[in-house]
Order: sequence, then structure tokens, then C-alpha cells
Amino acid sequence: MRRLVRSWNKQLLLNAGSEKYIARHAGSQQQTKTQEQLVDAAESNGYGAKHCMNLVQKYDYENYLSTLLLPRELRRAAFALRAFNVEISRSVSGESIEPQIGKLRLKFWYDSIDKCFEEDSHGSYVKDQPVLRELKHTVGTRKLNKMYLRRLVTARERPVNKAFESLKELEEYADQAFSSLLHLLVEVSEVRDVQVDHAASHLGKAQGIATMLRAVPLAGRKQVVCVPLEVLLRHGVSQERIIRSESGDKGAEECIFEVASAANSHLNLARQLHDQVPRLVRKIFLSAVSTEGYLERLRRANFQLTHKSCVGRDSMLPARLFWKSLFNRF
Amino acid sequence: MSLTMRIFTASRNGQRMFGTHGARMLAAQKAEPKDIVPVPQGYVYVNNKEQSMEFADITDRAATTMFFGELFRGFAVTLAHIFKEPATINYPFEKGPLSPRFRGEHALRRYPSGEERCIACKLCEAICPAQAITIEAEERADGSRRTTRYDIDMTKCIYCGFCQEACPVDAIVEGPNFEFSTETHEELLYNKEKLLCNGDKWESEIASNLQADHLYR
Repeated sequence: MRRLVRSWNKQLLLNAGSEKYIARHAGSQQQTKTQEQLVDAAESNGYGAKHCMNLVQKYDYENYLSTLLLPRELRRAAFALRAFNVEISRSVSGESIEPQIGKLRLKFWYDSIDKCFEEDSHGSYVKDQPVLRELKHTVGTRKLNKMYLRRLVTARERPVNKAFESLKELEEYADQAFSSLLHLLVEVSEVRDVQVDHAASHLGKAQGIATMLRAVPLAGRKQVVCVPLEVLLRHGVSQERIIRSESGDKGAEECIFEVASAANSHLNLARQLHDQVPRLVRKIFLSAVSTEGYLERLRRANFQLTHKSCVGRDSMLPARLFWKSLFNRF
Repeated sequence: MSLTMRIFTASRNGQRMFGTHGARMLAAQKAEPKDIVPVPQGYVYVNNKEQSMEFADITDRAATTMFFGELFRGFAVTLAHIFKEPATINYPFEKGPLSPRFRGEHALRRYPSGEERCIACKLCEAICPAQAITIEAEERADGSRRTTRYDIDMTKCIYCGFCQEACPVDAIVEGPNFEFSTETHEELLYNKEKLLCNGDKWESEIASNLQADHLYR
């Protein structure tokens, strides 16, 4: 299945510069490349789209799959936004990032949003960075709300080690960090509808909570456990027990169940609006499939976060995504 | 009977080997070596203990000395190590394992299209606690703003990895190479060309070290 997706991906590539790159790199390692680069700068504009795709594929595989199913005219913009989101998310959660240094990086991305909206980009770094270049292209061709882009960054400014006090706070974080991206994608499709925004907000919350739950066994002690303190206190469970998430630990299971069911109810609320959502936007909301898949696997694993099925990739996801997109559902 | 028993159980290893009731009986008879001075409770006496003058213990000690017991035990240890895997490696040809987070020689990376990643945002220069990085940037003919100078003084660098963490575009990284000793100080003052060249050389290793699977936040 994966091979199928990969070959499919190859056909979809917006620009095929890879052969050229391999040939060039094989030969010239030591030469100074300044001359070559001047030539490159002109032709590399097409490379940005490919870089964005690679970035999303590497760091956000499930959403990569769902984005591939978007219609051709939306795909480039969607990958640009998703890649931008990946860059921001990585700024605060990469390998051993100091909180202060993470802030520096976020500030950089925050400033570059303004730079992307500037008409005259002469002398700015925007066209030197593939993701920003693509973002600027997207901003230039579609009408995007700057507020949502900024919210992607400001939501992540929340310190990594600051625990969520209540479920509401967790939902708010998920809304800011994850729904904003969906709102942006909806804006790209040029659909203006209150119901769609409503659905996007619920879906973003569900996705956000599921993503954070999923990160618990992977990020471990590098970031705070996403289960809110309120829930932990009610069940008398420590964060350590959530991280370990051993099988048969009833208290931890109860806590995770509570958070996961919040995500599930948001997912259901979004699904209730299914019929009011235009067909084009349903494709954007396809990422709900992976969220649902994860929550389902978690339920089957008895809400044990470290269970084998909850940590790895879902091999049936491409098929399910394709099936859903065939019938235009999410 | 008892004499042969004593000879057989002369060394401690032997006692363990012939752990019959006779040996156990011998062990029961054996007196605990005493401390030379009275030791208050809660303290441990660490100097040599007074040796027991029981006849059985004296015979034991004599037998150990006469039959080179300790010598043979030493040989046995040596022999055992012949069959063990060596703890050392044949260094320049074999290398030990490295963590993917290992912070070695610096490198400036390129995008797969060949474009330089560095966009002269100077965050690495700002964060460097040893002030080992110097950057100068100016606009190029095609309007892009790139570094004209990117120097790292490798003799100042403390290999803290902050530059790598601060870089928003993953341009400067500390690669897995740790074999870059030189004969002169000047060779350790790296310029942009050297760093880019390092990047080209180590790109596959660096890229495989920066793996992840899905977003955490």
C-alpha cells in the first residue's frame, strides 16, 4: 500500500527537479557553487512546493495522505500551509529544544508572517526559504486571514512544561493551534460559511486533543502531559502514571478515557454538520479520518497510550482515506 | 579422611566445587576474622583483620600458598578472558556507536535543490554563548539576502548545540564527525566554504539523524 502511495505521489509532484539534483550532487562536491546558485535561484521557485510536500510527509504523515487527496488547484496552497504548521510545531517540540530557544524560533516565524504579507519583498529572506516562499505565493493568490496564521504561532508560545488546568483550557489550546489551520485551509477553498467554520472548530479540537494524547508516549518527559490537572486530581493519578500508561492501571485509563471522549464528542459534533459542509470542504476535513482511527485504536487498546497499536503508523489509513474521499465523506 | 578433605577444599573455588556436607561442615567451623581494635557500634573497621589461628584455618592458608591456589585462579581468569569478546575496538578502522544527537563538527546544509539553507537571520550568532560565530550578510544580484561570511572559530566553540537548536531553517547543524583535529590553530577557523563542504560531505548522515514521525504539539 505504501509503495502505491509513493508512486502515486511521484506522479503528483509539482516539479520534478530530483533527477537533476542527484546528478549534480554526484559530480560536484568540492566546487564553489555560487555561480550555480544564481542559476538555481531562478529555477528553484518550483522546488518550494516539493520541499513543502517532503516536509509534511516526513513530520506529519497522516495529514500528508489526506492532503494528497485534495483537488489539484488546492493542493499546493494546502501543502504550503501544512508545511508552515510543521515548521512552527517543530520549533517548540523538536529534539531537545530549550524553551528560550524555542521562543526565538517562534519569533522568527511570527515576523516572517508579516514579511509574507508585504508587497515588496526586496531584501527580505522570504524568497530564500522554500516554505516561506510557498506561503507568500499562497498569500498572494488567495485571501488569507493573517490572524489565523498568527494564532498558529501564538498558540505554541505556551510553555512546553505548563500543564493544562482544565479540559476547557486543553480544548482552547487545540482550537487555537489546530482549528486555525483548518480555518486557513477552508479560506483557501474560498468557502465562506458559518456552519463550516463551526465544524472546523470542532474538528480542530478533536484533532488537537488526539495529537497531544498521541505525543505522550513519544515526547515522554520532554513536554508536559496533556491530560488536564483537573482530571488527574479527580482520579488521583500522577503525570508519571500517564506517561508510563501501563496495562491494567485503572486510574490512568479513566483519565485518558475522559480526555479521549472529549475529543470523540468534538469529532461527532463536527460530523453532525456533515450535510451542511460543501463537497470541496469535506475533502479538507478528510484528516478527521486519521483522528477517528487513532481514537478507535485507543479504545480497542483499553485507553493504554503505550499500546503497540497506538504508537505506530496505521497501515490501513490510506485505504480508508481513499474510500471516504470516493464517497465524499469525512 | 579429613586431611584429604581439607586438601581438596583448600581454595575457595574448590570449596564451591565440592560443596558437599563436609565442606559445609568446614565452613561452619571456620571462625570469623576478628577486628584488631574494639569498634564502636555503627562503625566499620576497614583495616586488615586479625587472622584466625584455628588449626583448620592455618592449614587452609598453608595449602593455598603451597599449591599456588591464587596463582592458578589468576590463570583461570586470564584463560576465561581469551574466549570473551574484547572490550576494545580497532579504532581508525572500527568506530564506536554514536548517538543521533551527537554534537560534533559543524556543517551548513543545503536544500536538496542545491540552494543554501542559511538565510542570515543571525539567531545562531545571537545565541552562541562562546561568541564563536560571525556572520555578515549582504544582498545578492538576484535580490536574495545571503551570508557573505559565516565563520566559526572552532577553538572557541563549546559544542553546546545552541546554534543548531536556534536555527529555524535547520541550516547549521552539528554533524556526527569528530575527527577534525588539525596541526595549526588557523585550520580550525572555519569559513563558509568549509562549512558548506562539510554539509555536502555529511548530508546523508545528518538527514537520517533528524528523523521524526508525527507532530507533538
